[in-house]
Amino acid sequence: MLDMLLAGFESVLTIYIILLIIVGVFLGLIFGSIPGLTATMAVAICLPITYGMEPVAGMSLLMGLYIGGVSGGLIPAILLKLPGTPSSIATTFDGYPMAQKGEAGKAFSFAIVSSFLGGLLSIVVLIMIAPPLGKIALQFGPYEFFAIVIFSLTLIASLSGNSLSKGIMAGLLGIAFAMVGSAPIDAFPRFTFGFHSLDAGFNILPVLIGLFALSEIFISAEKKMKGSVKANLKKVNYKVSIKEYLGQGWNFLRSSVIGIAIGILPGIGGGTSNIISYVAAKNSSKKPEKFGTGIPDGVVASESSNNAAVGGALVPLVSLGIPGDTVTAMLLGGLVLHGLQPGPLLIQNSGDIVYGIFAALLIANVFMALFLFLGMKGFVRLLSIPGYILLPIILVLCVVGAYGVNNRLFDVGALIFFGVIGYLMIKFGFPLTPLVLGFILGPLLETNLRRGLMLSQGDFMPFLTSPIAATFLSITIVSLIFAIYKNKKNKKQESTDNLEKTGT
Amino acid sequence: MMAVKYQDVFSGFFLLIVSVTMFLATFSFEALTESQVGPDFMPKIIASMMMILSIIIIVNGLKRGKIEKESTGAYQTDEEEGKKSASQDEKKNLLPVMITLGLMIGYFVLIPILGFLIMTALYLFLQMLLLSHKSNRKIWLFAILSIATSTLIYYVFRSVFYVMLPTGIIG
Repeated sequence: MLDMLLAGFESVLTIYIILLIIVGVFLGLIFGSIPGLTATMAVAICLPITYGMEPVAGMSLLMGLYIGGVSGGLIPAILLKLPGTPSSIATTFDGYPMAQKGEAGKAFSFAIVSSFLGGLLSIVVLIMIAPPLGKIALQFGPYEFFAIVIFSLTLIASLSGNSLSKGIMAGLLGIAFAMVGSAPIDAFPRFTFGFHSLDAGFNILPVLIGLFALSEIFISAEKKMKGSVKANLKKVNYKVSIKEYLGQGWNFLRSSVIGIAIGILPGIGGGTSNIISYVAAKNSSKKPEKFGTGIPDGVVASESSNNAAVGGALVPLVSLGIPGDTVTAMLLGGLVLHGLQPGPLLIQNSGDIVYGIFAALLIANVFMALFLFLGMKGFVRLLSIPGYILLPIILVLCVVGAYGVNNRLFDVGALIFFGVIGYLMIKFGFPLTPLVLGFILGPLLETNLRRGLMLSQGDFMPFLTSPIAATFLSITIVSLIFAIYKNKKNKKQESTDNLEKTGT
Repeated sequence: MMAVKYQDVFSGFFLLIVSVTMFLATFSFEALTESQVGPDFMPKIIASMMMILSIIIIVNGLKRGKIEKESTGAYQTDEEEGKKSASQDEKKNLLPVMITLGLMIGYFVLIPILGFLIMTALYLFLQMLLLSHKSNRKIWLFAILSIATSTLIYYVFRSVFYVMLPTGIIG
């Protein structure tokens, strides 16, 4: 394994690729730090650029974007109490009060160091468990894969958003959109409504960019944007003693483990892990009343867990070809664009690329910390570029990206179509993540179902009698029952809340 | 007002229509190979599940709408006021969204005729005007930025990434 990793480093340590990683981290930090722009958007816009590159080069750029995008959010979270991305919501709880007390530099130090270490730990975990997991998954047949896909989809649908029925509906819609075009196995064109441009189905890129970037532009069109936010950063003092860092050791470790574990679960990532870690840190602290008043513990908990979720989310992507969150869904799209077959075979067939990705992650993590320490002032200044200038430019980049897929305008039309769908879904309270994962996993589901049925000659029983498949299917049912129960409880809570309000 | 309260019912009905259409469309699918389940198998399952779920969403939406109706009758607090102004905002805010969509569609339709360079500059300028607040509309800055960005993207993608963007009438 070590020699594979060394080979990975060898393929990445060229000036060209290092430069790509630097550009990726830099752009990611910018996207992460400007509220309203996210890591998902950064990856979406840069995916088309990676077309012409070698797979390792392209993936390295995307890894830089991922790490940068998750980390950049800490800047406005601490300075402005605005989480740059959902990943740093909990950073505002204690980071902003710290900045108010004049300890912005200290908050930055804690945030950057814990981001770096949390990321590092999770990447190490990724390198240790993804390859063996992939090896186990190699023995999976269509029955097992069918069960795992069902499991991931249900988990995603039940965890994202507030309503179970809407989450599942979004997942089904994603599967339905993926059915447009040639059917797997026998290639019968479905739901094309006579458009030959649809024969190959919707390309993943316009779907992703439309849902995540375009919809955001519609949302911001609703509210006229006022001038830029003003952040004042005069002098920062990053000085934190080693002793203070060491005092956060347990907190850091617990938060990172939470981050990694949550990252591995499909459907939830940095956006949830930072809040859970914050709550966990508060509950196990000797001074829970101090949380929220500006203590480093809160910043460490939030920032180590959101970066730790990065490595976690990549575990199922690399070993099973199942994305854990929206950014990894996008990265999966990147792998497909480069002609790689995601799944357990990925490590076996393209091990050099996978280990190149690991190496790129480790390098990107270092640059992330360096940039944040050295270039803080610059990023703060970038925060003042107003959204009404940035968003139109982003739309144009989206259009160029969609057009570049096949050099045809049809994909631009699809981009706008999915932008409208994304907007409507947000407006009507449907989560977007299940749709994307349904879109990506739908074909996998159908292929494995039909392949499995061919193998068993039409018998459905092997899907239930294979021990691994049966385990995953039963976990699915249990998690579904749990979700329904939780949903009911929430609703009851809601209606009693309503009654109470009426009473007063 | 109605649209806000019963939006789940509305979206549920829409999805019900979509899923029924989808189900009916599967009857035209033909199996091209000898296999146990044909290309219509999965779409039928997915469409049926969507039908069931849209009915659940409609029922839940109706229930919620009822609860809210009862409670809004009972109290006339600040929240009620807030809701009213929120729905008024909604109406006002739909217009810029529709204009944005119009701009995007116009952009998409006119690119092949006028070319990427001209249309992008035009789109950027109009969209910036639309998104910005009156107090910070700097027409000249927007104009210069639009032309510069359009030119930069056009040439960078043409010569660095080899994406041949439509030239339209210039070409």
